[in-house]
Amino acid sequence: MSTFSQYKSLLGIIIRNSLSFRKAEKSRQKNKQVAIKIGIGLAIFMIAMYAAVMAGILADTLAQQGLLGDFLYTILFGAQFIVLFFGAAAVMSYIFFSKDNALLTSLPLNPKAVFMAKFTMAYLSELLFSALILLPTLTTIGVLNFIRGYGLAWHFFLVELLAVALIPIIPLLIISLISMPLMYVISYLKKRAVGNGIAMAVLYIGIMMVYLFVVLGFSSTTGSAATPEGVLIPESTLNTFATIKKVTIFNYPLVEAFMNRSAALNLLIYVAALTVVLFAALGLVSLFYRRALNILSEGQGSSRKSKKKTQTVENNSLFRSFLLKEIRTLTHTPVLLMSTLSSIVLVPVMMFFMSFTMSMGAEELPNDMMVIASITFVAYLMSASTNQIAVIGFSREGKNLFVLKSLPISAKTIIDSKLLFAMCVTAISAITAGVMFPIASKNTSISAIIGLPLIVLFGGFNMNCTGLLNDLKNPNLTWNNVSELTRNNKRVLKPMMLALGLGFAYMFGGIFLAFQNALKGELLYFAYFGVCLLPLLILSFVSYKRLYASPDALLEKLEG
Amino acid sequence: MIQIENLTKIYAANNFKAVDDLTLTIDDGEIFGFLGPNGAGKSTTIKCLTGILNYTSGRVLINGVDIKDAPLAAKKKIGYVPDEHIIYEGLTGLQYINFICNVFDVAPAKRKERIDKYTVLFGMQDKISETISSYSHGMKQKVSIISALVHEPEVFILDEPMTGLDPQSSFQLKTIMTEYAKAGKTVFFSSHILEVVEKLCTKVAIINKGKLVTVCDMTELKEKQSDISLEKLFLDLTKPSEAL
Repeated sequence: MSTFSQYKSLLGIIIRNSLSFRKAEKSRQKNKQVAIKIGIGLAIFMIAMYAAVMAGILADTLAQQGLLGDFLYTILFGAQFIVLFFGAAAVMSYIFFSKDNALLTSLPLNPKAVFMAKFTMAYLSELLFSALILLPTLTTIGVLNFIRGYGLAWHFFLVELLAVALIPIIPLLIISLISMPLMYVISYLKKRAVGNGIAMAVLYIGIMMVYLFVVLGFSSTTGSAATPEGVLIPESTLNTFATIKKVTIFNYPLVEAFMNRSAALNLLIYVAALTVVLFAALGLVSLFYRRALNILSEGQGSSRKSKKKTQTVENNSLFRSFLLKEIRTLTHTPVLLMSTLSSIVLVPVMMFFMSFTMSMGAEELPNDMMVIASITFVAYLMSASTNQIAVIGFSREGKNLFVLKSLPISAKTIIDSKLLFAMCVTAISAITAGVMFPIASKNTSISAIIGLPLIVLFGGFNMNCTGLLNDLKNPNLTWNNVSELTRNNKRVLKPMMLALGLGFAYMFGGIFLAFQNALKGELLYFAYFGVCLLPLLILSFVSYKRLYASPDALLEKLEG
Repeated sequence: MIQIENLTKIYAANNFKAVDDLTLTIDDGEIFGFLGPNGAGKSTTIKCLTGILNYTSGRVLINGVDIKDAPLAAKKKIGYVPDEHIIYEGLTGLQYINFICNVFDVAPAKRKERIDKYTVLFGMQDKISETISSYSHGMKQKVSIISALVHEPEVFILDEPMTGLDPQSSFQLKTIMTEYAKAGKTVFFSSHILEVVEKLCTKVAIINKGKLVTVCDMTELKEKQSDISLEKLFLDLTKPSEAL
């Protein structure tokens, strides 16, 4: 059997296995399917609309200044960065921490075939992010081109489709290749689970460094530069464009194809270059991947503790024992740890991003309300919808949940520990938001510095209660890797939808306030955060009451 | 034939020596039982034999092929029944077995014939098209055994194979293992059920704390020392050190 046939066969099996679980879950929730589909559609539509509007505003301004090419570099970079950020969990989950690795290493399968099948799965899961960023933004530019005449050709849309398909490859390859030496280092650490966590942190810090140095243009100066047309564009923005262009020079042929400069030839060069990189990566894989999987298979055998530690008897209260179990589960599940880390890191990252985007052209506004509203929107959205500890609180127990069910403890104790643990992560996000707000927004309003963390805190509390309740009602206990739980998952959708709806209300409310004259200064910010906080307090109270209404009955209903 | 030469496995993370200088030869036509208390190093040894774990030093040859130097060629010769269940629970039993047939290049005609044979033998003919997630513990074990047998391996390695099997299936598996040995193939398995090992095996190795304690020829044991049962021998050799 050739390596390609092995790849095809294995990929088919993994996809079939994954689809089968989704089908089973769908049949369990038949009556909810229509509502879920509408929900997904609406969420995607709202995100796409937002991206399209932002792209439309910026493209028109930048095209007039002859900076459309630079803007395309930035869009492609944005999509690659998002894939890099979210793809790290997918790569770790599918390629390194998948439950089937021990089985596959025992079979006569070429490591290249195994790697490629797992890589393809990670790629397919990231395609959504690429499409979500690129389709609305690039389609908007393409349509505006016909109206305003930017000089782009009809095949812009074909290049767009190709870009959606090709963009995730490089970031995913980068993560895969960085991860392999990390696995070596981890194998020599005494506490491997902690080592895995450190590896994730190293990956994320690396990605964040790229983000901070490139997007925020730390080296840039303040002030504005006049374009040939005489319009002022902040110098920091021009510097950022220049830096992104330099860093992502590998996107040059794709941008050239977009800009209708020898499109066919440039596309050919881009695809050829990707193929070369892919084969080079496969060469490295054949050297390291099997060894990496062997190392990871050692997990079970190497879990023996030192004699002294084995003899330590932990005498804790029931609640404390459960809380410790939650914390240990997190630190021993790298993908979950990574997802939690990302939920914390995403808050300040997106705050800076929104501040950066909204400050372009905001000079004419009478106050900072638009920037503050955008920051509030992302801080709330990111903290409320990316903390997945509660959302999969019961699912991540897997079949162990039935062992918990057999223990003489109430569902309330289990929920208490899960909720408190999720709230610890939310609290870190809230503190981070409060600390980063004045830096990101350059605004020192006391109402905002206190109000924003409270929004994150109560927003998170509401989502954690809702997420736990939904998961208790319908957990997925038959998963292969944690990524299946945390990604493309309907459990995540419900709270995310609510967060998105409320988040947009916060943003548009802020935009409305930015253009009124009745309230000014600190009073304006106090009113804004007060009004934002009120629905969250009500929702938090309702969701808390619902969660604790009849948890024992819900736990009782679960059957294996 | 399996040749294990001075096999040592140290877990890098904590310097724990799970297998310590193990040397064994399992000849063609033998049913070789591998015994030891919990944590003795049985599963680690089996994982080294099947290429799941890298070993620190020594050599493992599967019918003359070094598992480290030519892993794919060596694994082609092995049919392995792990101590854990099949991971792809979203597949049907048949889909999973077909995947294994693809991996081992089993020709379509032979594939059908063997799948039919083994599913009937293990009483799985009515269930084989259902998803693995709906199977009981024993049924999952049966699918695992069928997929290890379906490519008719030269070397059959089983880690605790009797766990969860009903009496009929257990009997069928023992029959298959005997037939395999009679056909000149190698059967190597770990178990805690000493009665099964005693009746089935031609040779038995006992391992404790990673070290080989003894290798005994069951025929000799039965003929010359009929008063010593395998159970007594096992308990004597693996007796824990005096209490604290």
